[in-house]
Amino acid sequence: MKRLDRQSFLGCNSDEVLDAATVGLVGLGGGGSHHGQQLAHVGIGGFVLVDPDTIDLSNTNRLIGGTQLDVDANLAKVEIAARLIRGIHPGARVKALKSDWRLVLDDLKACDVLLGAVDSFRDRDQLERFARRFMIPYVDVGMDVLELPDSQFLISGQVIVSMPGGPCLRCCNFITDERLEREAEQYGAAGGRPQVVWPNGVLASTAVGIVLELLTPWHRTHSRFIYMEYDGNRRTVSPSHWMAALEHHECPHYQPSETGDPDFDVRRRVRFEAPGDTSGDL
Amino acid sequence: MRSRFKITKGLLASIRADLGRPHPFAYERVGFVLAAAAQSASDVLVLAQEHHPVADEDYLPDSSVGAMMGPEAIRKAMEWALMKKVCIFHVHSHGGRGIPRFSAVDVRESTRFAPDFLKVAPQMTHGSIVLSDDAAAGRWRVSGNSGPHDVSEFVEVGIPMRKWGSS
Amino acid sequence: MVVALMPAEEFEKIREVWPGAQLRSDGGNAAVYLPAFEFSCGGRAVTMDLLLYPHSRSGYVTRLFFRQALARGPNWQSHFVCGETWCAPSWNNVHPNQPWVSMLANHLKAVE
Repeated sequence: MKRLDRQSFLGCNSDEVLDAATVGLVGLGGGGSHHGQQLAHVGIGGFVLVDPDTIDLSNTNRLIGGTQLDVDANLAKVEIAARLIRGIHPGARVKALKSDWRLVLDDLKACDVLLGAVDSFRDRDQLERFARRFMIPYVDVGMDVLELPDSQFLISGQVIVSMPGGPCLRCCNFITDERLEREAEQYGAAGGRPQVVWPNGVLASTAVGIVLELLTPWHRTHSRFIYMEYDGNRRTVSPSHWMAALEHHECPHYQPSETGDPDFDVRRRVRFEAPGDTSGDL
Repeated sequence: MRSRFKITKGLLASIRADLGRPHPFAYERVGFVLAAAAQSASDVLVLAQEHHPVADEDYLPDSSVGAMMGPEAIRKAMEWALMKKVCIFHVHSHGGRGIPRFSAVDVRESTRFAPDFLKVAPQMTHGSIVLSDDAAAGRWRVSGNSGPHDVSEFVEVGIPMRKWGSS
Repeated sequence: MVVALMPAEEFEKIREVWPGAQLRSDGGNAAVYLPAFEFSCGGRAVTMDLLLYPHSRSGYVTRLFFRQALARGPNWQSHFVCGETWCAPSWNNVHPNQPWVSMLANHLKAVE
């Protein structure tokens, strides 16, 4: 019996495909902690975990794997995630980087897929720009609690896939200049936003399913643009109207010419450790 | 040093469609993929940006090979490399299924023109790609190194993602 | 008065001041990379790569990015722009409707 026998429907070589993949998780808080756990369960082999924060008491209502002992020890969220992943999948290749993601770009460039569980639109905007520049599919996940009249609340969230060559977070009006400006004006004024474990779990599971569809598809009806909306009051996850609206849309926000390192010079960077292999002849 | 060649699903499909067009006298079509490059923690990334088919009039009649590019085709590619500071990868298709291999003719011809690209854009990497109907393989060179080297991994970026590797 | 600025002309004027300047682009917008630019910070001469972004971005009408945070200037944050990580202080309202050379000088006031 092998550990992943129960998911053999993902394909006869799915174990190898998933093991060879490297997923970047930016944000290992309430949302991102679910991602690490589930991706380890399904056998993803490589993880680049990035988050600058340590766990605090208020995280323990939702941070998967985080304990009171971790709070007492002021443990980094990436260390909690790394411990959780290795406990499930001891052979996983894990890089735990307690850092602003912008300071570890070379590690993130090596990822096959990026999952973003970040708080700000500014971070989302820049993460997407990074992912597009280095041609990495970016899965953005987020939840919100909105106040309604009569002391009621709406729990909502979304999972959006920004695929190089396809529609982006601006195409579907999720990121707009107005939102970024409003956020910049409120800088430092916003306190902790409401966050709870069960919507995070629903959204993370949706995102992980999308990652698996990307790597080891089990069906052939794929959408060119994926935008799933969560309504925590109606208890539904459903396709946003943007999916149909943008199915054939050409993204105007990212140019093919804006890819790669701006000052790339292979002579500065590449060292070959073995002689060139020239065995291409028939 | 590992290399990963990444190309969007849409661009790869359009290249396959273009290479499938008949030519007045050549047996097959060829083109050039322009690409950016980047360095990750572990690999050199080659990031395909656009495809330029070799123009009909830039082929030379030569029945001994599938397609023979004339000097104007090479000159145009050299100009792109110089002015846009991009990697140039010659591309053609062998058809069929599975990971394709470079033929002796492919190797001979790429040895002929690759040094020209390295001369005008030595800071980039240049090479060749061969496609099948469902996979790809590539080779790349850098200035001052004996080369060429096999592209370690080809990545078709899309839903689903597809990868082919020599490693 | 709104002045229509031509990016190519403005870039050439910056190149007259700093010959090593290079044009870059982000989201379709032109930016100017100024390698090893010399400026004054708190009365000290500093040499540092700069990136002038003469367009609105994330609530700022224009922005000047620095290779590293400096001791002067408020609320430094990291940003991913034009393929790299840069730093910028919270310094807004340097309007886009001015020559880029003036825009650069006005941004550098944040760290004088």
